[in-house]
Amino acid sequence: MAAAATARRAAAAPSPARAPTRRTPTRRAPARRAPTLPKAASRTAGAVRGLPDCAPIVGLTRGRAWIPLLGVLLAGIVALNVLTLSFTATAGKIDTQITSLRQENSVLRAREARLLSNGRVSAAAAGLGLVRMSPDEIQYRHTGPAAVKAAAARLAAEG
Amino acid sequence: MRLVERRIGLLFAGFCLCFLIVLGRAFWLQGVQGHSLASEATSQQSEVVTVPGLRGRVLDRHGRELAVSEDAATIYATPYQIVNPPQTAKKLAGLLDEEPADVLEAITADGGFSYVARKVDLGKARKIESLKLPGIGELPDTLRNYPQGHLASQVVGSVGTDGKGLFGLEMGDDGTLHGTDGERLVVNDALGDPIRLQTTKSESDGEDVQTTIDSAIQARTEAVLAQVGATYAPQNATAIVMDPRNSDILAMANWPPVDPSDLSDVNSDDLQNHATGFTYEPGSTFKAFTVASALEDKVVTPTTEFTLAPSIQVADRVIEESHPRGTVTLSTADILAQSSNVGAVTIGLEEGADRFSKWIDRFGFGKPTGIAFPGEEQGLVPKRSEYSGSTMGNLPIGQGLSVTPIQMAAGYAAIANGGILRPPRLVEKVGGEAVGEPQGKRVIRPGVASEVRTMLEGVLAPGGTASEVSVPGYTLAGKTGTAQVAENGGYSETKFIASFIGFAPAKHPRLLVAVVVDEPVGDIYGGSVAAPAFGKIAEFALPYLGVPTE
Repeated sequence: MAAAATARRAAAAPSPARAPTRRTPTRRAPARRAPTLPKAASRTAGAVRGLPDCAPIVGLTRGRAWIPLLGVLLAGIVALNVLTLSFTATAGKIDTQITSLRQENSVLRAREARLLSNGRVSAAAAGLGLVRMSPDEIQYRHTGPAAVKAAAARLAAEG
Repeated sequence: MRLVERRIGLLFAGFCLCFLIVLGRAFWLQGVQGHSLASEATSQQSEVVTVPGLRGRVLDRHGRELAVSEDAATIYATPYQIVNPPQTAKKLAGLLDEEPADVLEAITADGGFSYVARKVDLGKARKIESLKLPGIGELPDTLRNYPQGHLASQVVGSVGTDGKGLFGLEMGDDGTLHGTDGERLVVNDALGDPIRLQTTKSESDGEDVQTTIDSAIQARTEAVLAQVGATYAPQNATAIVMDPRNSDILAMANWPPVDPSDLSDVNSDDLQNHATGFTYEPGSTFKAFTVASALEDKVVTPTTEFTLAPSIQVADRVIEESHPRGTVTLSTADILAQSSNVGAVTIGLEEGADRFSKWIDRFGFGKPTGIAFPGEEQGLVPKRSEYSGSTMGNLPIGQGLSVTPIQMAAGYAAIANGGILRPPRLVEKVGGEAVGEPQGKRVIRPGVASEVRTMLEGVLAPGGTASEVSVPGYTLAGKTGTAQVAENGGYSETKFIASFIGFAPAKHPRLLVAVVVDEPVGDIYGGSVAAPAFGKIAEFALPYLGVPTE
């Protein structure tokens, strides 16, 4: 307590040596924050010191309630470990699944490529009765200014 | 009270004894046996699993897969762990489609490790895994598939069991295609279930290589070559289909075809891509360059007329026509259309050896074209200093030098596109990044190229050497070649190389096709063996590419 009080006093009464340092803005900021940290620390230290004297703790330690509490805490630690292991195992299973899906993907991609092969498509087309046209059987549409006008008019009509 | 204290003392002593025993045992296990037990536990609980990086795909210009990899497995045996070898062999053989005796031999081999089957597809591997056969294990592997079968097999190539390219693009672009295997540390619990996985080295898949090949044109070209193979039973045949505007290879076919998935019974010569690896004397197809160079140097014009005797003597060599004739007067265009040997030699002599030698070099003969394909041959061209007195009686008609089909196609593409010689392009993208179009260089003026194109139309016109070939709706241009095979210091009377190089439409070419047939049987002429193949390929490819009829 005495040390904390000394710290408080030290913070409240700045030494003359610090005064010139406050002129520069770069040093001003830490000088303002400096007292807050020891204050908080001393408050926390005080609360921790007072913990053994608080009523619930006194009741707990002087009775038999600490036994089940310790049991619960131990069980909690065990549960936490089990949970961690379980998560790791799940992560492992997911990773295995990812690998398995990746492998399946590669197999399916190869199968798709086989199904889309030229030979197979040509055979399927021939099976449907499709034939390759001779070049002279292909009709080409010739376009001129009139065709362009007609197309523009049709597009305009369709909005 | 004393009795109670004594009992408590005994109990305490008992506890102490138990504690000492436990302590001793703990010391024994952890202190004395600790090291060996720890390493045993590590080997039992944790394993390093290889995660294979898949090899990149080889694609055609539209993204259709020509080669693709999939995950697979290698089945191995630890022979001394197998409980009932005959029964195990029987079960495995059924799933692997192999003979039980072969499998039995593998699983009873000497030593602690033996391969049962490699590159097994995952479906089968999963079934084998589900049998939980003692002594049988799996290793991750990859399997290379060629979904288009033998399509472009000599171009695409193949990979070995070690996953490295053996030939073709698989070998040439192995560095790009090859994936990198990763490693994963797996820690298992007592039941063998993984409780911890740690990737110690990430796997990375190889990059894709996209070619300029159009699989539809490739398929048609191979079908046409198969007809040529069936009709003329040559030693081999090759065809190149190219877009002369940018020298993109649309098809590069070889006969006989090979199955890249099974190379066990394949003749090593059949694995060669003859388009880039076959050297031959081009014969009359070379006359187009003789005429083009003479036109460029203004030695002749298309209408310049020559009075040609039945034969011409150059030093100690007498050059005759392929078909005997009397003295005739032919124009430069007629010389090309009728493929006159005497006429071409006459033009070559007018041009002179010095200038002609430079033109051979300028059209890119005697050096690789620069196509991105491994093992490209460069042919053999005599240096000017090596010319003998009769050399100029040979070179203008395509004898006394050797070229590759791709060199001839590149040279003709220069004539077709207005005079720019470009390295043919086979690879369009690597890892999704576009490969730039190769830089070209002007070799002849556009006007000269146009004149040669017009003259080459005459080859397919009445009176030309390939007059029977036509494609409805399009004008064609090209040149036939029937070259004797050089052997034993002379020329064979029975072995010929028939070739044809042509393009269409003649005025504004969009398609160039080169067909070279090595030693056809039954017929030998380029006009009747190779030119019809050109016609069939062009008949499919021109409408397919959307080239309008004229």
